[in-house]
Amino acid sequence: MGTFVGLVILGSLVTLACRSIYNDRKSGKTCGSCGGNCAKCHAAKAK
Amino acid sequence: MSIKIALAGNPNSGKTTLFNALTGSNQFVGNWPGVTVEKKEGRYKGDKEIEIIDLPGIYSLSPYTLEEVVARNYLIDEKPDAILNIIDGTNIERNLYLTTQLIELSIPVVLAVNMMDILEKNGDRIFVDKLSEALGVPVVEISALKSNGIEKAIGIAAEEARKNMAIVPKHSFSGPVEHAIAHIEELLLHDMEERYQRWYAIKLFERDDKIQRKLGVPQDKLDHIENDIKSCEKELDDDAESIITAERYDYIGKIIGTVVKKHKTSDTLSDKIDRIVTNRILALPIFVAVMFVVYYFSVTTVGTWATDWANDQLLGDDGWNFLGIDGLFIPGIHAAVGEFLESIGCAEWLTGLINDGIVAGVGAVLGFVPQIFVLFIFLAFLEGCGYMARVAFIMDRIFRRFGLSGKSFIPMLIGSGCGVPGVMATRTIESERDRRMTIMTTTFVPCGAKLPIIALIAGAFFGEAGWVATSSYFIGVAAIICSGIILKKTNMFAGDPSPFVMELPSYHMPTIGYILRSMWERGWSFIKKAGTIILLSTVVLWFLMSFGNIDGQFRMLAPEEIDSSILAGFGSIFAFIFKPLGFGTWQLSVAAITGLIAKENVVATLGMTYGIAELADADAGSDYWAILASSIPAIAGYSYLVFNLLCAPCFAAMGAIRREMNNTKWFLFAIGYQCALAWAVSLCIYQLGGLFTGVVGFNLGTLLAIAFVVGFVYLLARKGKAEAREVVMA
Repeated sequence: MGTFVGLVILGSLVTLACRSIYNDRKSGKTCGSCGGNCAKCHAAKAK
Repeated sequence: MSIKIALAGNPNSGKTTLFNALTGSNQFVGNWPGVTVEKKEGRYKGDKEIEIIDLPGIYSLSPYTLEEVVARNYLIDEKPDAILNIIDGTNIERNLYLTTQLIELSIPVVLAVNMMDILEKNGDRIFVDKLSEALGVPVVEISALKSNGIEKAIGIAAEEARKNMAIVPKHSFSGPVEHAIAHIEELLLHDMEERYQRWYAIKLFERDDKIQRKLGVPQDKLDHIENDIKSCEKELDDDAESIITAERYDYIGKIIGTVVKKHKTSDTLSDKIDRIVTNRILALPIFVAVMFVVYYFSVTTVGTWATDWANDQLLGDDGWNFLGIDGLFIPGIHAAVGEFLESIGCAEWLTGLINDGIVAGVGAVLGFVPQIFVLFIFLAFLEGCGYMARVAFIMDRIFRRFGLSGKSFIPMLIGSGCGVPGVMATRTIESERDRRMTIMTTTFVPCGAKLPIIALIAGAFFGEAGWVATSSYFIGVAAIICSGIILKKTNMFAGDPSPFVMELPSYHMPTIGYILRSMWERGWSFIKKAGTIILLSTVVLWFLMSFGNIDGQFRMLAPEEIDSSILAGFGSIFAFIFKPLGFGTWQLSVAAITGLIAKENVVATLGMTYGIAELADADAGSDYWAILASSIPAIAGYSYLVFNLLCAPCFAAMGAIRREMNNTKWFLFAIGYQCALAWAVSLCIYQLGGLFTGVVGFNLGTLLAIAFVVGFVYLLARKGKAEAREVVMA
């Protein structure tokens, strides 16, 4: 049971991280490391 | 009906501040020209039907740099419904030059005179009614920073857009010029809608080759109008472009005479401050002192107190008392997660993955958040108050001596936050050679993601000495200058430096909101990256670190067996490359390589690999810093720091370099140069520093380091190429 809970925690963390990266890419953000300052991030924000 | 309103104006006139105020965005604003290099779009928060486009700052519609091309192309190709032309009221003469050109585009123009508050403070006055009458367009007084008058300005712009009336420019050129323009319109532009003919005709008169190509003017017709232009030039005794410029300024001069009342004053406060901070002798020592203070407070004092607390109490095992109240003990995250997973009976391997992998790795990065935030507060203040613009001016004086332009310093300024926008900011450099060189060297300046490495090395090896962080910054600057000197002497980069004209903005106290927003924008990206890229990296690294082959059996390893892990095997392959640099351990090698994914990974990897070692060694102390410090000498730690500062940046920045170079060979050359320079400098630091401190005996590496120093001095001192030759990397 404990292992199952641990796997759920791990799975959730990994899923959230992947989803965030995917969403950024989909919306056109180049990296997310520029603090939204690069032109692609500007364009993505405006959408 | 959707309305498109373009914000156009000179660099640093406040367009992005206005854009943020109108759209509610948090786009980056800097108190220096060239912050915006590509157009940005947003919707007016008061009316979502109004689309607002923030264009890069331009001085004229005669494009010389990439961002000027972006702005001009948008205006002439996309034809927004109206242009809100923001002009800096404190520099109205120069700003009106663009206005006269925008009016000729025949798109409805509304003039927003910004910085009226500063103007009034200086005792000056602009009679906006008279200005409106003189130009034939509506004029509104605004203060973008204080959001005064901005609704009125956008309202009038929307109204003008709905009317869509062609503007008839009130300005006309002298007889010979008007004659030539009329002839051009008649000969070449009669098919075009009448309202747009004049602007194109003026551009053709100026021999604008981009417009010639755009219109596809046949050579015979070009030759025909050339006769008209030449006869006009002969009559007015000047070249066509200068004639247009001079006549525009004459016209502006006449307007200024009637609409501006200047209060005669002695030097402004900005002038007085500039006399000291841009002083020929004092400027550089002041800059060094300022950066020392910035890094000292960020890494050593304020930032360290907060980071120590975050590392030990919040994220570590120690725990803390809420508001210092004894009864309200909150355990550290690492300890709490460990206890929780144990209490629910989670499998040991999974507990290890979550706690010693993710929590330790991500926690090692997040522990530096307070220092990052303190650094970004300082940088936001320096940028916002106008000091960093002076630094570009100071650096131009130094750079120019070595054949570089101060323009190369603007990307460096931006790169101190993140290399990606820094690399993109090179678009303001006209010379392709200088631009390529600046792209190659911009990431030498420590970005926010490199700060944890600096803080870790300063803390683990040098007792958090302030000079470590400051020297990191100046090693980056020195690498740029030295690279510039050396590369400028090669065929690839030879040539005169780009001209650097920059208006120094007035000093002003940035608002708390600006500073906090700037800090949060940059700091949040750091936190977000820890929760995404770094988290995923730690999962992969944990597996690689926890499994290995022992006695022919592939299995999960105990902490003391970590040297037999897959990761250790992988690191050992590369360790020989770093051995002459003093950090040939598999842990440090792997960390340097994972830093290519994201620089924060260096600290995360060290946190995990040495964190496991901490579990294996009961005498190692309470944190992994002590184990790290005992693994290599201090001089090797510094060499490791310099290697990570100068070598190839993260994948995101490499992607930006690839895009901006637009050429695979140039991209590979840039990355190769960065890695080679990092290796050579680190070798010299370790071998020669080690020889001096008695850590290293004379060996082959020392000989190589001496050879590098001699070669380096030769490359710096040798005579450069007199003539530039275009080098093509197809």
